[in-house]
Amino acid sequence: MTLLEVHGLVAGYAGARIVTGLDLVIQPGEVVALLGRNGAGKSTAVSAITGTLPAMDGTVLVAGADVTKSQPSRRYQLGMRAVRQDQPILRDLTVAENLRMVGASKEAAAECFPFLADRASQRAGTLSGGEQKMLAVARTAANPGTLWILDEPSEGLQPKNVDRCAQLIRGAAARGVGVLLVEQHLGMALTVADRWLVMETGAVIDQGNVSAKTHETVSRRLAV
Amino acid sequence: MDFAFIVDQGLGILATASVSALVAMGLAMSFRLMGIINLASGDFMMIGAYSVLTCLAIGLPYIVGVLVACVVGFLLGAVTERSLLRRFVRAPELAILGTFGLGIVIRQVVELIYGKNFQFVENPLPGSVEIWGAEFPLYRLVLIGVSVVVIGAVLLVLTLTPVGVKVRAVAADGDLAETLGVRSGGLKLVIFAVSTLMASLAGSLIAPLTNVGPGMGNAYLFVMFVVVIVGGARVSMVLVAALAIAVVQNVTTLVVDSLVAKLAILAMAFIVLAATRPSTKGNIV
Repeated sequence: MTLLEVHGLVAGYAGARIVTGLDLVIQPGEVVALLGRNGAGKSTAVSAITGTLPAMDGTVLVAGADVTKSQPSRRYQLGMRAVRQDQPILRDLTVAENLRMVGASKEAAAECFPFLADRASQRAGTLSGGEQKMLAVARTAANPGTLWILDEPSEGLQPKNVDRCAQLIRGAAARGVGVLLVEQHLGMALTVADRWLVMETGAVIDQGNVSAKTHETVSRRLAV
Repeated sequence: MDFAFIVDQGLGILATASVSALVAMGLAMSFRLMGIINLASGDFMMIGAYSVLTCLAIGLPYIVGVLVACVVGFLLGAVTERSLLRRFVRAPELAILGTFGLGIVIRQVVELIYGKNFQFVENPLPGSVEIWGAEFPLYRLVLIGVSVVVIGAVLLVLTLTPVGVKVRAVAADGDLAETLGVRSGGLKLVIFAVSTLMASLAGSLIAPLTNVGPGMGNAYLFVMFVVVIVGGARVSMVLVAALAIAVVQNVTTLVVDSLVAKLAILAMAFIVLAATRPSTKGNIV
């Protein structure tokens, strides 16, 4: 079953159209990298796909169910797990409570990032930006669902933790999880992705399967 | 000033603080979760008092009246959230008009059924107990005890249970909580219903100590909002604020008069607003 289908998605703020007709399909076990420069509309697309921003037009299907007008919690029930770019964790809750929210154990989270084992009772808002991202990724990996929507998961992470993050994504994909990965870190994105899409001014302007030449092709696209 | 007098005043302060805290806690929770300022809180209190009055009139014991007040408060709150407040989900700041109108409707309906005149609820526990040589009015002790138990139970639920974690998550970041699978719509309904239950319970508890009339809630509403302003919409701080305001209110009333007491607590609110930066962010507990 197709995990995510997005057809003609239009989304934006205060009547302004930021995403102007996005089409996207993710199959089980597939990692799709959504790339683009700042302001291309990637995070707006993610907000509309996860349901925190109402779509102006188009449809979003998760596991075959039309969730275009559904709340984010309905999408969660259908297997979607999201890590948003800004403030990806609940800052006023402890690390353990952030994990407990989704039924994830701190042991499972610590397998992803060992530092979490000693921070269970710490207020999550007092973690560094990178640590907050790791907590969000660990929260997702410890209760993986079937579809991950990750918006800049490697932002603020040290290289070894970027590698760990990439490992977790590939590991999930190997178990059949579909992943939409929005990433500025081109090297990491193309290491884990099967397919890539480049967005510009709210629409996909190029796409393809990841190959040896992809880095050069995408770099050229992003530099234009 | 003898010991019995101090005890009597202290109990008066605790009784006032208990009732304020019950209603203000509910106000703070619904404000933090939904962004809604419930101007009908005082009227839900009044409904609690009339629930007791009605039960006593048909021969039921006082305790049944209190339980009926809780059920009526919860159900009316749930209906209000579903039928009225949900319409303001995209503009919660406008819900203040909705709750203001609701309060007027509630008062008019009660006036139509029961009339304008004050009515009185007989003290169900008129006795007193003697501790350290001072007489403690039994009913006030029970009122304080019930309030403490209810407030303590709400705090325990908020801090120690999975539901409490979800409530705090929605209060902190509703969008993220939804993304993590929390059905915030249902949670908001329950929290609003619990807040009106607490107001109705407070009304049923205060009924034997005051005049019961359709406009009785307005007298309390002023104090409740000052409590929430001073407490900063944080439940634990609301409790501290309720106690502090009860001290100022009761002592000023005793030393000067009730009008100056109102001015004094209003001054407290202004001082707190000037000295701090009120925020609706941060931990709800």
